[in-house]
Amino acid sequence: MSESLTLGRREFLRAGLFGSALLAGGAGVASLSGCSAPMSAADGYLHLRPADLELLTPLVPVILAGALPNGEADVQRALKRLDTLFDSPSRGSREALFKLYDVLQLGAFRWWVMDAWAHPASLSSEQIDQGMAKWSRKQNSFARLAFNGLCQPLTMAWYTDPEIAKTTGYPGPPRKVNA
Amino acid sequence: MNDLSKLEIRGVRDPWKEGIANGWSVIDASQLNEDADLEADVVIIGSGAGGGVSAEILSQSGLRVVIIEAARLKSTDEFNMDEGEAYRDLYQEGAARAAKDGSIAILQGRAVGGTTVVNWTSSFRTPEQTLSYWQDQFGVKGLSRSELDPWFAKMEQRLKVSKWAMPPNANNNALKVGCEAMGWMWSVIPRNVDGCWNLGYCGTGCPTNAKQSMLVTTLPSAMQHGATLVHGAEARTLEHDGKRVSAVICQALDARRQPTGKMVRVRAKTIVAAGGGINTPALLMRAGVPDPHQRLGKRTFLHPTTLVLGDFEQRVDGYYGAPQSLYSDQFTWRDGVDGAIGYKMEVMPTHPGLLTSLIGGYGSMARAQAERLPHYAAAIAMTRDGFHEQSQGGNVELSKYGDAVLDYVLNDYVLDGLRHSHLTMTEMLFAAGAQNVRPGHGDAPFFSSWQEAKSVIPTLKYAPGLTGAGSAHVMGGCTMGEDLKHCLTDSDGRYHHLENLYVFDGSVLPTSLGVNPQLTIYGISARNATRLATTLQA
Repeated sequence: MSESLTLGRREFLRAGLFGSALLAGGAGVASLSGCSAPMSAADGYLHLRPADLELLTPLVPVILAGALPNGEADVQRALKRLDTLFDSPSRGSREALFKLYDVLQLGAFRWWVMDAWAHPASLSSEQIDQGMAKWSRKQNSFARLAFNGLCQPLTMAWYTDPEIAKTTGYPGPPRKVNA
Repeated sequence: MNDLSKLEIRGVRDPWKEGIANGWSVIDASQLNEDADLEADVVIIGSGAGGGVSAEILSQSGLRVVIIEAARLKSTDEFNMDEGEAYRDLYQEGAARAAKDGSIAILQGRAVGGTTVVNWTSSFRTPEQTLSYWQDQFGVKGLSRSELDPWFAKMEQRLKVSKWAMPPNANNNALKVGCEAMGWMWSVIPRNVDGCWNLGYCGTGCPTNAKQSMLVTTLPSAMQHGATLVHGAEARTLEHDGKRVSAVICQALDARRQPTGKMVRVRAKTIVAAGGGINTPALLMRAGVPDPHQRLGKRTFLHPTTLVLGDFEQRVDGYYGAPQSLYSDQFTWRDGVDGAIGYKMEVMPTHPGLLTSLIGGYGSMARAQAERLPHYAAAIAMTRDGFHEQSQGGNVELSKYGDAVLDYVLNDYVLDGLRHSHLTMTEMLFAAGAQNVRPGHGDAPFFSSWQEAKSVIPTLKYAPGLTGAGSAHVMGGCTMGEDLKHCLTDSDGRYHHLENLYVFDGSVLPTSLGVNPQLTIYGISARNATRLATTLQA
């Protein structure tokens, strides 16, 4: 239920051996992600990097299942809204979030939380769904903070879209007419 | 069903548009082509509850006041009730501020007018128990309830605070029905509104000027008395010699909150820090002000808050209507002032962006829950942190970029209170007639009976990331009191270790409050700004 955009160093360490290994590996994640310029935003984006888009594109239809009225076309729209959302946090908070995406590039981390070593791009939606189900039930703070950090910003970015907000049954706000 | 989407709001004035046209001194720092150098009798850093009240009082006393605000001016004509735009423009970090480990979402305003522009208008006087605790534990002087009551009365009158006279919306009514069924106390919340349209958009900037936020009350009054507002200017540091502060150094920010490269320097004889919890301690840390006992940013409190959703057969439409109009203090002092953590119960509005992200989860189950949104009552409990040795609050730190980070760990003392509140509010919402009830815990389903809920909730693991927690109240970090080892300002808000620096905001509070904090900050700031004005005029 928390809007988790930050993942503290302490939590990385608290995750124990796994967390420490991941933290140590963090610097090397860029090379693992296979992206030549991992710290720069993808074309047309303010913050999301090409590797983030590769990672999130197959995850979005699963995380926002049932909430994408235009199907595939909404995936990019959701990513654009997420990118816009990331423009407001402080630089440090934003970096913590990207650290989460970096960790998700690691097969070992995915295996730990989702039981799936493979990159999401090579998994079916059903496999991702099963992995998310497992992740969502892990009784470990670090894993769950990471889960929230992945899902909650995306959910907020999506449901603050006035058109999507109405799909919940919310009729929408009154109309302001300025003099 | 309620449907306000067909309603048109017309004929509302924008006091800032008119004021600027009439010559108010407003500087948009984002537009500066060169560095600016200003001079004042008093510079006030921040324009929220503390800064707004101080600006009015000090400018009315004839002092030249400059108000610094990091946010860009956004006023009535731009308050269009769009949730996403409001979070981006009116909240700290785009409403994405959180405790360092991500376990607590922190909704804190960032606006001309501060959090008062986006709060839900609940206006309570500080509980006597809280004020007595400060006196006993921190040596706070002159702030007993009887000494503060005249200041509360003054601010209640100034900001039109009165108990909400209209019927509560169905969301608030669920609290009343549930409490009555349980035999628990409930009462009506005093709100700072004047001619409220009962729309429900307090959190996105009041579109009708009914909410008596700083934006439409004290700040316009200060402007009429010759104050200058510099907006889009973020205070980064202070010039000081270890004894006195001589100037505030700000960086100009563009519309995307990025530094433009232009600086604003404001020289003043007296400096008032009013950036609120988290931000004021962070500024003082960046400035390297004397802090011999390493107290800056310590004891920052949040009222860690839980949510329980009740799914009713009938539509609740909790996004419409005065968001908070009823409360219950049944458990606020459940184990005395300093025993097991107590909590005040209220409700929160259910706008889709905020509520779906709080519901959490993913995929088809999250979607199924989102589709019941109009049927949810959303009860919340704000736990009173800071009254027990195991509740020391969080610590403000600086990131490598110098931005504020709050390290706040949900420990077992607080977590026990979160679980207790989940049990209480689940029982309350079933008693109110909800068909299904879900506490805000990632492992909790919607329960279909109290029997089921009360057998499962005690078995859930309560830990950061598993249990949901939020905060809309940031308090402390510059503790006031006369005990120099633990306190940074005296009871009048003057910084103990610098002659001309005052802190008039929520960061001086030695503990959390047990009530929504705005009226406490108004009352104490009014008292201390008045004393400062008297001193400066002498």
